[in-house]
Amino acid sequence: MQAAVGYSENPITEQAGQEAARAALLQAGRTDPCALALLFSTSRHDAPALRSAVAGVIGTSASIVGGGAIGAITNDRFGYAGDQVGLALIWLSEVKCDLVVEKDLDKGAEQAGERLGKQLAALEVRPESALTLLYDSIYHVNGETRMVMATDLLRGIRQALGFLPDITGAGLQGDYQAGATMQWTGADTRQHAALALHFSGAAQIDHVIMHGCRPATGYYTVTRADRQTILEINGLPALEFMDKLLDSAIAPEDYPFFLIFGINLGRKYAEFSEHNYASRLCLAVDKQRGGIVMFEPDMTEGTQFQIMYRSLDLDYMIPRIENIFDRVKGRKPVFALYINCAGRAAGYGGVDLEDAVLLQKTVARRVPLLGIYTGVEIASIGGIPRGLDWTGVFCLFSIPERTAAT
Amino acid sequence: MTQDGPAQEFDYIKRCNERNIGKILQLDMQSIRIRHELEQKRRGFTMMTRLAETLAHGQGNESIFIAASKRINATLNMQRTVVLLPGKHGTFRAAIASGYSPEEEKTLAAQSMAPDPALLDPEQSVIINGTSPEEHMASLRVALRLPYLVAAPIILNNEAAAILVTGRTVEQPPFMTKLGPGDLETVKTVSAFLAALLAGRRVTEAEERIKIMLDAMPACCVLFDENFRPVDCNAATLLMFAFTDKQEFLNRFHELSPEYQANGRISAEIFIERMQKALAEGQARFDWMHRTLDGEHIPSNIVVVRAKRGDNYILAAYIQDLRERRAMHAEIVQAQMELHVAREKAEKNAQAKSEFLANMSHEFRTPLNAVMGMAHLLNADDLTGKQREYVKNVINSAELLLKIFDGMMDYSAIDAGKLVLDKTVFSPRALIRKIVESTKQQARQKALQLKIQTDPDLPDALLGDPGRLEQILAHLAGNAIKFTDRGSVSIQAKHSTAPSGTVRLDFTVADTGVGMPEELVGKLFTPFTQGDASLTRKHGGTGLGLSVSHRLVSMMGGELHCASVPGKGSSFFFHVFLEQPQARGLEQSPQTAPGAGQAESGTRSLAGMRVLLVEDNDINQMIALELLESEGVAADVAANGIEALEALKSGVYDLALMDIQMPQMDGLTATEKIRSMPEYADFPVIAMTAHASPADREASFKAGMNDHITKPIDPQLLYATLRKWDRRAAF
Repeated sequence: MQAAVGYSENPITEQAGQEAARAALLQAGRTDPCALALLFSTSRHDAPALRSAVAGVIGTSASIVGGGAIGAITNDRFGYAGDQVGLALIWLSEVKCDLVVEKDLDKGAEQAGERLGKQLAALEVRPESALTLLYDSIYHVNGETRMVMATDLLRGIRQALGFLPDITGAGLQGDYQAGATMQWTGADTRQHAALALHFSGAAQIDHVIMHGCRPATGYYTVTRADRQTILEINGLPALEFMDKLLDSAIAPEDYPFFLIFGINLGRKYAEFSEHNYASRLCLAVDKQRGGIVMFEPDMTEGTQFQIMYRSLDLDYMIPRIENIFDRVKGRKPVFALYINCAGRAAGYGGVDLEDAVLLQKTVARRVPLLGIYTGVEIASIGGIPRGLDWTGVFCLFSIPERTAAT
Repeated sequence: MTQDGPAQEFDYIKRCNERNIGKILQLDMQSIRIRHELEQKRRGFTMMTRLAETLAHGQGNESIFIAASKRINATLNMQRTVVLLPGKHGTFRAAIASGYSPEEEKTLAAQSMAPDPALLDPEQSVIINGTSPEEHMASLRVALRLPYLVAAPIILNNEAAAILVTGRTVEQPPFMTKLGPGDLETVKTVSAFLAALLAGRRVTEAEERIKIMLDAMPACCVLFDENFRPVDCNAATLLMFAFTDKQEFLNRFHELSPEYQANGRISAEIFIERMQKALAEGQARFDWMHRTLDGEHIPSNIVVVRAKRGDNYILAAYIQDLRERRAMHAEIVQAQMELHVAREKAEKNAQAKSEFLANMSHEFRTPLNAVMGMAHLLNADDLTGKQREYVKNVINSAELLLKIFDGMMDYSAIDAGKLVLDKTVFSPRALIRKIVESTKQQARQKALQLKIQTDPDLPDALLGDPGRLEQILAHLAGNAIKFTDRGSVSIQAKHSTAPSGTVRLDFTVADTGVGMPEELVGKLFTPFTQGDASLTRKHGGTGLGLSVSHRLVSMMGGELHCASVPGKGSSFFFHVFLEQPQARGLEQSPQTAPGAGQAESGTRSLAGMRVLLVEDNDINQMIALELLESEGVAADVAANGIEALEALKSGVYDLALMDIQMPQMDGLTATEKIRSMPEYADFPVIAMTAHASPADREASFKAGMNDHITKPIDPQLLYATLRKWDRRAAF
């Protein structure tokens, strides 16, 4: 298995697709067609035209998979909220990759997940199977923006499979405004689709989650919730509770995309361990009901959580990334995929340094790197894949050394 | 339980901690806002850098705006960007729109907006967000479909060249935040950047145009700084001095003049002087000798002009290479000399031709005078019928010969441009009467009817050359009679007033003669062509008469045409333009007394008249004496002007007949001397000479002669002239 990456910020779609594809081919140094192309772009580009442009360079035999991203990262370039295009070309050789696609996410994420799960079952996916899940996280009803919940999608998959394999992935989004976005599903371009890439054979995907958030408080309990809206905390209306807790230091209007709750999936009072914490980001406030709307509906009644604060430095990332590379010693890393919450971009996250810069510096030239800025991240915490917020999921693809020469 | 126990301590710490979290998050929020603003700035600067790279090469203003508006949307996280450009009457139109659907763009493009003055003032802040009143710039917001916007003018030459408007349709923190001063600052910076880009583009375009103009200019131009160092030149300069590299030329400029100029002064010194003069006075013009690196000298004329450039001056030297001009000048001088020589030669040739013609005329007329004179004398004697017929033939042949010769002389004179038309007051009616008189005998002999038709109000007097008109009409009438065997010959004269005030006379001479085919009509006015060779043999003629008539008519401003039907007859019609005497301030009465050349007809006796005949040729003397004596005129002979003067001192005469060309003293000189004697001031002197040209006649009158008759002598004309100048009748 070999991968190569390409990047463009050309505002002209056709040129952007061609530039990214040519850059990737140049990096690969190969003339034979690749099997798989992971393509991501902001919603400023026309999706069918971009696909055509890429296919015009790499050939029509490759399966082009991907969708919207708020930005992209490669080994030496990154950007977000612009005209970014990120592309990874993958030559599979000894690795097998099955693609399953389900549509109509807007008509029910759980049902779509179930259908997806059935397809995966047919592929004989196992709990240890490495899956990459990408789905359209946005749909619109009567002009209103709605989100597809990873929780619902994963629930559907679990229902069909009976388990959840080791899934990493992303809820795709093309811009910060939650505009409509498209997905490339192999040979098609469509909307409201979910697609899963099942890598089997020699491929191994190791991942690590990074969010840099630490608990700032003790535990509080969700005492009433309506799907993703927390209505009560510790018996008080959620907004009221929070305002009191924060001593009105932050106005409720500022909670969305700022307030982070952490769910500790490890021992309650053990030393802090980042990989035990699932971050949950506030999406909106429901003033009418005094509730706090979260990105995912998994903070159900009884969920205990802590208020998290974000780290303003990114040093926590380096050891975690290095740890992954250590973990695959003896194998050949062939590709790195970084699924990054778009809120972590420094321009919006308030940190000085872009995590993309640190990532590029740490990964360096060890492996072709493709990162995407997304709305939702999916990775396992405590062995269970879940939707995450404000998290960077670093996935490292590797193959046995003896097959690296292919 | 104490109040300060572990539990209280725990609660206390917990409460402190919880208060701290608020503070921590508050600080975090502030840093997010600050960082976001920095991010906007960073993006703005990155965008400008990318724009500068992308737009480095020669796009138009519109392409700058298109590129900028697309990047603003993407980079500054705006949803819509519009560039408003000036339209008519102070309005603006949305020329560039990014983030709109095609239909929306069309709607936008069709609108004209009168912008709020704040949009045109770079000092003002235009920020419209959720806190702005709805009515604030409502029309703009509705027109652009942009409820939240920031705007900044793009200023060029102190005027708004465009207005940059960008914004959002929703406010959705934290990503679609409320637009604020930070956003405006970034947009203003972008506007200033675009203005600088446009200004730079203008300067570049202007420089390119100047460069094109300079390089296309055929004149050489070298620019100097205030220290008189050459800093630039155009392509023509490099060509003139045979350089291919501009910098090399500039570096070696001072090698391109000889050490000394033509006036012996050092070139470097004069150069400084001239440049200083140009710098001080604004201009200097001077001649200069340049040279190429090969040593070829280039004489030049140089104009140095001072021009302002910012706070400094530059000097522009325009160098005119005089080599070509001098070469051309030399060629012109050479050509002029050759032209002068050719003209002198042509004039000499013309003069020689003129003199030849004059001599030919004289040399022809003199012996012909003898032939005709003798024939006339012989005709007066008793002859047999056959002898008389022979003499008549001799006379006819001689007259014909004279006519032919006169025709040839006329043609040559016209051809040489030497024939001058007379300008005399004459009567058209009298002229026609004369024609009738001269042709009626001929017509009667052939039993032809001669019809005359004239306008009843034909002018009494006109200014022109009656002699030549008579010649034309006589020739046409003579031809008509010649080529008509039966029927009639008609002469018609009409007149009309031309737009210029001159009088147009239309003459028609028509006959019922042989006529001629159309193809011959076309050749009629060609010299030496008579139309039909058989007719030529039958009727004679050289074909010069019509050609001469044609040209005489042309000289009078008219045209001569012919219409003919074989077997039916021919019509010759012509018109001439003549002035009215009153237009020249002349008397209207034509010459009723016989003027020069108009002899008195009649039969008054000349007997007893005493005439001094001044003639050097023996035969001419004999002929003249015979003619005079036959009328009873007593004549004494003087062989030259000197003898004539002597004769006048000793004798009494009524009149002198004076030849012109005589040895010792010619007739003109003799006449002048006669006129210088008061007692002979009015003495009639008649030129009787073979010099027949108008110039000769003029010379005669100028010398003081009263009249001028030409040889061969027509006896009747001689007698009529004598009668005319016979003063005996006056006393």
